[in-house]
Amino acid sequence: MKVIKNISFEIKEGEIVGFLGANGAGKTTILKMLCGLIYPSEGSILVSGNLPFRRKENFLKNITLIMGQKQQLIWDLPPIESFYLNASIYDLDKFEAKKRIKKLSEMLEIDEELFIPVRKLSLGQRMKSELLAALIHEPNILFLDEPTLGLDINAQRNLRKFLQRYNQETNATICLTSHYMKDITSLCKRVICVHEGAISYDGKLDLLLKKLSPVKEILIVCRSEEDAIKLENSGFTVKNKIKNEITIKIENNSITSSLKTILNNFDIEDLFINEPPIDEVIGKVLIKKDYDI
Amino acid sequence: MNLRKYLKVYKKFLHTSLASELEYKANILVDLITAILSLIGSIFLLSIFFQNNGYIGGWKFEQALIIQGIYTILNGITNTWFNPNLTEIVKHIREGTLDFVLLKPIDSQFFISLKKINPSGFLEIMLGFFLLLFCIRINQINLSLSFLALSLITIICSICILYSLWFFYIYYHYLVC
Amino acid sequence: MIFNLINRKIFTLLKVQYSNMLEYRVEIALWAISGIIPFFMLNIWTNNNLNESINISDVMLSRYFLCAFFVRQFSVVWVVFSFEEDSLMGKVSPYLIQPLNPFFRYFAQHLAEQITRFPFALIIAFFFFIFNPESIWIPNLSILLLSIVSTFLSFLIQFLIQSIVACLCFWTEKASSIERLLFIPTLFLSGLLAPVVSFPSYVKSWIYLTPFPYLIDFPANLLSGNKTNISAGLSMQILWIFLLFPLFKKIWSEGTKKYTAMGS
Repeated sequence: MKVIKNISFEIKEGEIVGFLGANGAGKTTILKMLCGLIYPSEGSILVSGNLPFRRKENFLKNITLIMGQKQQLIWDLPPIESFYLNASIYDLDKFEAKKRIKKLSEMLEIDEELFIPVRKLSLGQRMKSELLAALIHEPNILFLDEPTLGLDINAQRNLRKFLQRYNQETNATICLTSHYMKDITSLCKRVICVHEGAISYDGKLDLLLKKLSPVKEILIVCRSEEDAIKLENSGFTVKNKIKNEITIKIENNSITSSLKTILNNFDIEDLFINEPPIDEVIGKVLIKKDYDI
Repeated sequence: MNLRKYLKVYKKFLHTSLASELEYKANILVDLITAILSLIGSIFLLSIFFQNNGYIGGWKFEQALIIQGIYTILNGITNTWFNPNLTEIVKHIREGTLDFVLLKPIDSQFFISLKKINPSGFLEIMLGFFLLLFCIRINQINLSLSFLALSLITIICSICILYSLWFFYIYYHYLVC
Repeated sequence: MIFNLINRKIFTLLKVQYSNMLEYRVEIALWAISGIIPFFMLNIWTNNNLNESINISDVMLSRYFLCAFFVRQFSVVWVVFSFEEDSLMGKVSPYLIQPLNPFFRYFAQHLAEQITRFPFALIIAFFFFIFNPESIWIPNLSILLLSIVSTFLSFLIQFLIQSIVACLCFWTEKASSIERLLFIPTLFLSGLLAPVVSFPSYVKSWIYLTPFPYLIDFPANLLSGNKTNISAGLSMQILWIFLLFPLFKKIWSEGTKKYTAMGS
């Protein structure tokens, strides 16, 4: 059975790319192929000039894989022990390891948790420690598979903030999959949509959103009902009208000009622009096959 | 292969697994008692077999004890190194964390078969050696250098066979099936 | 066509069963080992004429070890492993909500397992008699019934002991190491490796005070027609059950109290 078929893409250094797709679409398989965990039956992959599946030492020292809810930390010991273990595996001396742990723990805002056995930490604290363990060798390429899975809203936001900062400070390339749209929208400029093992879209996120939702809904509250009636008959696509409140649909590309006309010609009390909920929009991507832009 | 790095990593393995085990001190104690009792039980059973017979299959009781001693050492090695790592491999496969191991810039077999160590198996190894020393005395075996070297080589070979059997089993079950 | 279909069904069924069996490999390994041991031991005893010293003939000894095999087959217990796994997987909490002590569940599992094991045990006995035709015997009905009762009591004792050990899961995460400790005296003192009569007299008097010889030695002697004190054996089995049951109740209630207090 072919899990992945005919895909081709290129990611530049320092980019943050989100992989979108339904469960079982093949996102994780793609990540694993990029790491060198799965050998592609056909085709070729180059990651920073290396063939991933050879898993050469200098390639492995350059990448890291973080999987939400799968942990590599030693369960019965404080995270710091796992950090030093990883440091020795990645050939770091004690001084260098200490420096990096200090820097990363400041960035991640963890401190005394480093000295508490992992089994006693909360999921959020554990995930931060997992990140530290995975980043101690300062990799240039990060593969994250659902890193925010199961985290609460604050922990999710902190994680995103950290990834953004890490990306800015080190210019590391980040590839991530997530089911939380917030992760994708706040981190990734570029997304790759995967549908049944093939790429259905590869490009800028805002372009995709525009393409998927070409109209915006605008709720206008008029000062008087007569105004509302006048507005209703002035040629806009009306969705519904309740007394002096009227909802119209405007194409994205004409939104500013249309708004200007409305504000100039009618007596408006209030105005709301409703973005279509991003989850719904993205939901469409997951079940559709092709988006040619 | 960078020997110094591997030594350093192994030192860390020792440190972390000993520290992990020390989190469960009562457990270590129970394991130690188990090791002692099982040796006592085995010797007791042997003594029952020999209580009215001088020889079984041409072996004297004192000679049969040598087998018991070597068995105890090998069992100790199994309990110290092989068993805990096999349990760990099964866990890696069950939880899908083997990927982390494969992505470390270090030999995966080294990592996977030596990461864990169970200190209570040490006692068994020691007990086995003491039993062997005792057997050397009561059997009046002359210790020459070549004899010692030969026994050491055979024991090392048997450890290698044991290692291969244990890890072949797990490899076959989880990675092939 | 139809044959093909049946074939495929059987194949899938076997595959599912096999993967299911793999899940229980610890128990199966124990089962296999403890199953064969009595026959190995019989071989050692008779080949070296060790039984001359304890005044048991070859035939009686072979019957003894066959019975030991049977008793062991129907008294093997693995509650600790099931319970430890369930508690690690977080299955204990839903069990605690149900109006049934989870150990009844395990009890039923064991009984079902014994029933499925019965035909296999008979097959092994059949082969045993083919190789040792002189040891065929038919116990009279009352002895047969009594030994079934005492085997069941032996199963009960082991089930209670292991359930008590399993309850220690509430305090320590590794109750199975205590089970491994208890397995040592069970192995050596229960009569699985050597009938307790063969033990030197200075230990014998002590061993009969522990529950171990009543696990295999007593029911096996009873069934094989070897010399044994029936009323004393049965009453000791019942006594141990009366001692262990309240202990189990106590430790279970303490354990669940501790468990719910922790709120995990």
